Amino acid sequence: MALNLPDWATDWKTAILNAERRLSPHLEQAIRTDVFLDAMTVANSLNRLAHRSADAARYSIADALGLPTSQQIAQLQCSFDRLVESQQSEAVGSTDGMRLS
Amino acid sequence: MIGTGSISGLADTISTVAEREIRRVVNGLRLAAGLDRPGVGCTPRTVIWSRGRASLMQYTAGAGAGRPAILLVPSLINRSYIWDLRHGDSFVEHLLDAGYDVLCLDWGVPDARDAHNTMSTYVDDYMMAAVAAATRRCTTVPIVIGHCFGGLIAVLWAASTEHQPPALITLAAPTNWDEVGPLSWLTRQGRIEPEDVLDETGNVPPASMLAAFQMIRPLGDVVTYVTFLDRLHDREATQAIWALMVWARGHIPFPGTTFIQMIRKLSRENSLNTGKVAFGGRIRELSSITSPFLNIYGNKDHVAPPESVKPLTGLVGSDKAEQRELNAGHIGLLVGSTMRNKTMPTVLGWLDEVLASNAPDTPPTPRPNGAEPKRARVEANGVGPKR
Repeated sequence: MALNLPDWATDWKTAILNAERRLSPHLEQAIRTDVFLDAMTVANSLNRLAHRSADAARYSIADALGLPTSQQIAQLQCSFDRLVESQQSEAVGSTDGMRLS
Repeated sequence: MIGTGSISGLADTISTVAEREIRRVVNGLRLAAGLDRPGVGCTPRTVIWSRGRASLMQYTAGAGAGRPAILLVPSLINRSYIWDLRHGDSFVEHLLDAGYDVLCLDWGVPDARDAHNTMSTYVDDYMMAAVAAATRRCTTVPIVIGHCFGGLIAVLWAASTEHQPPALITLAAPTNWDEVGPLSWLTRQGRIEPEDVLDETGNVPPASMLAAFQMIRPLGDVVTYVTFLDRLHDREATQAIWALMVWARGHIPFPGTTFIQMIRKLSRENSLNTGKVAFGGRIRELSSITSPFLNIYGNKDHVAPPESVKPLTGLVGSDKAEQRELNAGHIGLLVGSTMRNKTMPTVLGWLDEVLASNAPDTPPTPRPNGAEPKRARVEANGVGPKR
């Protein structure tokens, strides 16, 4: 006796796409709710708190050892880069600007 | 009893299936090993201007069709090669084939040095200088086409300059941020402050941008992966999907100060929707844009939903301001069959109409000094209108 199965039962692609088609509207609706947005806000706050705590610990260790932190080195590098850029742009001169009205 | 014909048919079927599966395995292994990854941004070009991380690339049509050049302005959050994704699937190629010289602004990859770049840096500095370089190169102000945030930069630039382009086209440029959806809501109502998402370089990290876009279509990636696996036997299709997947995950840092301004001015104040945006010590009035204007958006766009894009058409001061709704998503406007069959005919058809209505060989003229825009100028936020 032949068993008539729906397409999605024999075709993995159809099955997944059908599931996606049915689930997506509900999920997309869910992310528009205050509950979800509040949860994201809390998750973001906790994430920042964890990162800041970890950074503070790293920096205090580096400080105790008299070593520069990665952030200080990056800031120093950035200052040098900005200085070089400003000197280069001064040398080139701003001749390519169409004046504002 | 089984006939010879059915045995032969069965053998053919097995052979076809085996061949297809072998191709799938071979294509998959080639891609995984990096032996057959599609080349992107391959159309020959020349860099004609650069400043900081930004540069301006020129693609030459080679056919003196007498048409103005076209300047493409990408969004700040992705790499610019989406305009020239692959041979045969390239916005740039289609414009070149239509006889236009094409220029494309590449914002580069922002780093800590760009964290203090403001919206004014991009509109008044980079965009102004890039258009000036393009104008010097092509002798007339180019037509400008911007996508998403690039469209907003183009619009704000046009509202700030006396040198109006011959035509201005935006693709999926979000204007009414009340309608943008969860991406906008998260940073409104005091939930998340824009400063909270900046990393130690002072920019928004690419991972945060990616997570935000994945959030608004939670199962979007599933569809992409299923399609990829399903088409793995087809080398061409596999390469196309791979190129798009890599691009879609290749977000770049968003300059921090610009992000903060974007959230405060465009999202929280929803100032674009009022037609006046104050930044850089001036008010930019969209009503002062007089170029022919076309606002294109996709009805399946999750990033810039149609309702957020539509108002732009009514805010510009152009006599010819039109809009087209296409059956497309945010990126489909720029790549694939949607770009080839919908966006490109729409853009080229509209440009033909605009250029034909202009007198031949008449360079676009700046607005006369002192000409009053259609709407009354309004002082806002203590910043005076442009002088």
